[in-house]
Amino acid sequence: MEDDNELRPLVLNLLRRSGFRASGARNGVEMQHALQSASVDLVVLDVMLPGRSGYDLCRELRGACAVPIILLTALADASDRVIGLELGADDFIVKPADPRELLARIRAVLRRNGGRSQAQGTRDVAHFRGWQLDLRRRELVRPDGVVVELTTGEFDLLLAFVERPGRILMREQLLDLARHRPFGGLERSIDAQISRLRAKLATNAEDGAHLIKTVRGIGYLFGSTVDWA
Amino acid sequence: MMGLLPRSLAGRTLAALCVALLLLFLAMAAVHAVLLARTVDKAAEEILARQLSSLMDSVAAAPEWDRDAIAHGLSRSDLEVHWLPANVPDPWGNEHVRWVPLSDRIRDLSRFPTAVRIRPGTIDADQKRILGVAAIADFPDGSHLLVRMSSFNLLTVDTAALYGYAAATALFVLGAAALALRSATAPLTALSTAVQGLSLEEALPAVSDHAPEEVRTLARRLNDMADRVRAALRQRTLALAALSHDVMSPVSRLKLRAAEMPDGDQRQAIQRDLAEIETMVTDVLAFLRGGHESEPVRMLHVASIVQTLVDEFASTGEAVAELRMDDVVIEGRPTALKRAIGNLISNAATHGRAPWIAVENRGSDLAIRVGDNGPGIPASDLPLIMTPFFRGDRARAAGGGSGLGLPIARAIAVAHGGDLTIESPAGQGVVATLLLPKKMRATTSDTESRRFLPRTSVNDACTTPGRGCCSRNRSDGRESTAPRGHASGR
Repeated sequence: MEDDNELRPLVLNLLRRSGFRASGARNGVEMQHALQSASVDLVVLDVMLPGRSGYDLCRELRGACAVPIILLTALADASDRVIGLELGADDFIVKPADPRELLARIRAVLRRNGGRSQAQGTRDVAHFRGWQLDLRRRELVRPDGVVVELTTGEFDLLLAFVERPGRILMREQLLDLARHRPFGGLERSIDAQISRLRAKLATNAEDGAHLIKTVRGIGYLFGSTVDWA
Repeated sequence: MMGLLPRSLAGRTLAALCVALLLLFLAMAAVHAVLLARTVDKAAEEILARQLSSLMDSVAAAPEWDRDAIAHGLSRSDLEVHWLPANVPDPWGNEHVRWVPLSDRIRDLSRFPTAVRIRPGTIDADQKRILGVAAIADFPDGSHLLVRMSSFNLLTVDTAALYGYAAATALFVLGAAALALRSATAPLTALSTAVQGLSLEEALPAVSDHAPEEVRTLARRLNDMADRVRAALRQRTLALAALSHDVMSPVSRLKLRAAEMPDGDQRQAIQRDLAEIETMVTDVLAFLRGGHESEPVRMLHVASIVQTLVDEFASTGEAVAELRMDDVVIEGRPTALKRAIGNLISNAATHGRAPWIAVENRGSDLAIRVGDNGPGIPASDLPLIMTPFFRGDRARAAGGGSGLGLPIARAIAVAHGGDLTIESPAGQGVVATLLLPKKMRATTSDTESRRFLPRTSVNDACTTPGRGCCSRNRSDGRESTAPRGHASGR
């Protein structure tokens, strides 16, 4: 949903060209119509709307159903992001959004949501060995509460591991995962990203290697159980 | 001469007081000395007159046959009294009378002598006495009385006590003046100290009620002036913020339109230009915010932020070398710090060659150093480099950049209680050092509540409500998935 009459068709065009079925809505009423007339997998919601704030619509929508929401706004600072995420949005994109980034975020949220329905319950924060991986804030927190910064590529890699603990992930699988990212995926090899990720996950020397184990000739394995909250 | 003048108000006043008191003291001492000398003279005359006249009376009142015996009886060790029945040759030459007031006074007091001649003797100043005073009195019957006084004590005054008293008075006056000055200048000094460290966003701290009326008025006037300056600045800021906002809407649309264009150089060029516009607008908004992101303070692993930025730059083809990467955790605002460090890396990558970055643990502080091996900054530009919108000739020629990268980075550093310094030793490129305290200082959270750019009021300045204009004036707080060219003044 987007109130700008020129921007809305452009976004719709982009989504349709990328293989999504998309319909636009100018306001909350039209959005309700759209939600009732078809089964909706994801809502991209402009926060800055005439009349009612996108935040209100976001809260309402979240109360009514479990459809994933991506908030789209003009300028916003970190506190807007926090408000949006606390209201139940799944992601937050700042205008002017790069088209490739918009698509990547939509795919990421859809992928995450697919996992969510299988696991029966919310999958917002993953806990492993005291670490926390917050999916909505895209944030990794050390056992001692320190925020560890990840590139988008590293985050997606770690997410792939955390969603499949104890299973061997093949290099090709990881590459495929990275291919959807606009940046950072292909230029650096998976191995380089893994070693960087291990270093960031290491509170002491052998810790990182323990968490992400190498399976020689095949791929990698996440060596910890994961709790979701 | 002017150079000797003390600079402070209190110094000047006390110096003037000292000089005045010294002159007063000297004048007093001089007047006192003159008056004292006169008094001593008068008193010596009177006492001598009474002593001599009573001697003369005693001898002259006796019968003639007894006078010599009485005269001898009156003599003491320091006093010779002789009665001479006949004329005596004048012992002191022709001048008979040398001490006129004394001889006059003796004749007033004693009825016997017809004439009195005095030899004044000499004054022994050290001992405060007169040596060798002598007098000859002529009686009517032709006899004479000769008196010789070997020593006569003068009146003395304890001048040390007097001068001491005067000095004590002077000190007391100086002390009182110093106290009065202090009570007048201390609020002034406090006021100027308060104003010095004050940013425009902060209100002047209240002046104490005990401060003199003039100081309180000054404080009020300063506050009024600051209000006017703030209002004028806010007006401009709002206009700039509103404009920057409104630019973002067409940029959004253009980005999407560009995505629909066929692949090719043209599309890439348009996308680059759009990215540049976006960077500039984002920078302006970040700068207007003055480094105060309203994001919460967290414990941050700095090396991971730096590594992430380096990887993001690497993905756009800018290789940045990681030197020392100390494992340090600090308190800070993640998005703001990421922006500050990103700006520095972007500068090094854009303007220099072989950029590098290091994270160094320095006790209670953390230093993030970003350097390059480029042409460096001309020494004449170095002082200007933190000036908003300043861009060096080379940066201007290279195009792009808002001239805000460094001012933003510094504002963020300052908001964290740290600082940013730029060095450019000749021929060694540029080194930017971001110094941050591990524990954020309390002041930063205070100023946050008085942010220069109020969140709510930008609405008033919006030119096209409902179209790209919104109730927010914040710039993006997004975690940039791609590094943007934060260029700054080089």
